[in-house]
Amino acid sequence: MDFSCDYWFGIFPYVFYSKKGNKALLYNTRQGVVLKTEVADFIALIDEMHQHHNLGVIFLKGSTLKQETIRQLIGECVDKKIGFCFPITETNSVKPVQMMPVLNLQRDVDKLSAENDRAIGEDIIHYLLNLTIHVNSSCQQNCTHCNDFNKQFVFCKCSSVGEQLSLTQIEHVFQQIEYAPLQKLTITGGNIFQYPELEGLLAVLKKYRYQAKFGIHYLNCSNDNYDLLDDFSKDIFITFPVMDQAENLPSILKKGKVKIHFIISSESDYQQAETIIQQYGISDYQVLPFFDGNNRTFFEENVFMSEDDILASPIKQRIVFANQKLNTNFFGALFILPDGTVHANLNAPAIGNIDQQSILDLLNCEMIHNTAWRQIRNQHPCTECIYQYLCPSPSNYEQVFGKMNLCSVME
Amino acid sequence: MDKLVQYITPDLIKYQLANLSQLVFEVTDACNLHCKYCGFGEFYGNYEVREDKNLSIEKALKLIDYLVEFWNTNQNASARRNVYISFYGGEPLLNMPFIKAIVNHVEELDCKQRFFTFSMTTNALLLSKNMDYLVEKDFNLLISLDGDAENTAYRVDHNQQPAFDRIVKNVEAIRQAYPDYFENKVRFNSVLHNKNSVEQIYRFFKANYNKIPSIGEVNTMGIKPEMQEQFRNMYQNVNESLSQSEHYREIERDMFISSASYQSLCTFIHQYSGFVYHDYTDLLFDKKAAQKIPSGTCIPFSKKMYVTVNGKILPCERIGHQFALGDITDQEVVLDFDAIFNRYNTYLSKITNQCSKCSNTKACTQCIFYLEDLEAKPVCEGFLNEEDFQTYYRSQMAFLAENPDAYHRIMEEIVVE
Repeated sequence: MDFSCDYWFGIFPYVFYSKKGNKALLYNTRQGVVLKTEVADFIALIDEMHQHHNLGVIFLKGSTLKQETIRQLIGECVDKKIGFCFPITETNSVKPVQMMPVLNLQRDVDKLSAENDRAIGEDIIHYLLNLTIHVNSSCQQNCTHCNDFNKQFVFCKCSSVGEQLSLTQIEHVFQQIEYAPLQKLTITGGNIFQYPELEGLLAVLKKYRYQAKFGIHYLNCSNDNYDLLDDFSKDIFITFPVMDQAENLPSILKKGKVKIHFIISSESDYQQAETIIQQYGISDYQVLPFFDGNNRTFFEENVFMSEDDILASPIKQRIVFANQKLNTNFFGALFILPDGTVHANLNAPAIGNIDQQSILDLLNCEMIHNTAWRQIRNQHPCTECIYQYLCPSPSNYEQVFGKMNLCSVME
Repeated sequence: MDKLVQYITPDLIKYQLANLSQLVFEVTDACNLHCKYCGFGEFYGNYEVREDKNLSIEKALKLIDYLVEFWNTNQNASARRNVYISFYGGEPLLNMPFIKAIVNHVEELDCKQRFFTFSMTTNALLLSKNMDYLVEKDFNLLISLDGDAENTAYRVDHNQQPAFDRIVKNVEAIRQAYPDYFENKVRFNSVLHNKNSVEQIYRFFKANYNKIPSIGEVNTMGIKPEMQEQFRNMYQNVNESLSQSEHYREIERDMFISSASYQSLCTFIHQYSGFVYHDYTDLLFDKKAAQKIPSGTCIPFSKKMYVTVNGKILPCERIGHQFALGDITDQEVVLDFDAIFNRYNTYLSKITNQCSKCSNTKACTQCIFYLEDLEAKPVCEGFLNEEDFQTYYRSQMAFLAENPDAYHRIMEEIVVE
């Protein structure tokens, strides 16, 4: 590099910049390449680029490049396609500018609430993406952690009260969401085969042409009514220890339209799941870690994220923005319980009841009160971490751990 | 022949009605002014004959009730939505009984998912007389005034007497009586022509009311052939006028999004920065593949519905009445969704081919109803080939380089919907 001429030093618009304390990170969202630094003079240059009037490009005196660390970091920027640095000549003497990655969310809740003639509830049905209905709560199984599973993932849940939704209540919900862009509708219980209006429910689902999925514990699948669900997909939940090596699985798998969800709490559960997968040739399955209160080490080893995990695959700019505005795990989900109460997340307080509020009002309530959908990494220690918004949104695991970060980055 | 593509469907049109955000009534075609450049005046031939008619209250109420049925269906997507009820003319204040009847009716509607904002465009001649009511109902008021007395010379009454003094007297009256309302709810709109300039308009409103007006050009559509020359004499382009101002940068910066250049930059940034998202689901999903209808034409009723004094229903007040999409008869509201869908798809298909070759489809604002020869072989005047587009792109980036602070202002402050 020529120290006698001056340069335009700039950052590309697809580069995300994060700075916490004396650490800074530049992330190329196209290629997933990162540059981390604690060199104060270099960070000062990047800060200067991010001043509004600079729009990502600054004038750099050639003499600045005499500092080896600066020169190396600029070189690294160029090599990693994070930025550019070129000599100013007669033909390019006008300072270039970039449209920098500033998030503009037109229907941002804060923007809408500041406008007198706008409402947060505008077009809100478009936010309903994922609906889980627990039609009943009765079940004869005695799963050890029955009350806890659905706090971590979609799962059936029984209760001794034996509440259930009427078909009228369910159909009323379906009428209201006819024009929602629903991507997933899950029907579960309790044990759905103990739901007395199951046949009626299936007819209603067909009437509204919903591609519903039924969530069933594998021990409840040995039921004469299982065949009623032939036209529907099923999520089959397998908890450990597995009884009788899940001997009803072959017949379940044979009928098709099945995804198996293995709920594991330990390495040995995982080994058993592997055995079952191989034994029965299961191709469509998911392994879900379950925190039972006593398996923290298992989570630390298998679930907690490291820096390498966070950066394992490129994180698009859109995702970085999403992580700043919404919870990518929770957004768009509603859970209706057998007593009609509705939650945006089962670890969060209820947002209402289908008997008292319309679905539109419930969605509006969640957007305003934010029990789950807009829960982001805006609390300590994530607020001090340079990966704050590169890291995935908080999940149910953070909720049940009662800890904001499940990672090894910020202990 | 261009292939007929189904860009819109009858169901999509119904959906727009169920989620309508503005209903505009042409309250009357009568006006107590006779402005030279009026869209219903001597220059134009694309509107219904003006007969000093009032829009029937019964028809308007029928339409509102018809729309309420849509607003109460499951196609309504909103828990809460504002609907603008707008009164347009002619001069709407000449028909206050209509306005009061509509306001009363709207206030009594059984439609809990809607709230309403009333708005009006007026020449202000009858403002003093009606201001108490307008303030009570919290109207958004847009007053037409072209600058100082000389600038406003085309705004004359039927005796060719200038209206300027009467307008500003009434404006002063409302400002004195209701200063907060004047500050928050009153805006001005000026028409640019050969008796004013952007600078003169800007300075007049800044000095007298500390407000920045919106400035529009005289409508270029539907000019009678025999009036072309006179029209050309009167017409002035906003950008050219601004660039001739002595302190045009300062004016432009202060006008910000009210100026054509910043508006254009806003469109450019919104379409080409890649960092503008409509709603939360846009952040969740990559929607690049979503089909866009050709041109910058709105899906009918996605922005508003306009009703003429004769009960014709249009998608906008700025397009010729020959493009009416429906009618309110004494018996019913007639909107044939299949016919509308066919008509739009036919028009859109005529320009699909041009749009497919245009390099500026993302930021297109060209409405097909402004294209000449739409029924036969429309040619898009906004078409940009790659070279033109690069010129456009460079000019916008150059403007941004000159005004870098505008970027964050546009990204952080401007809500375009």
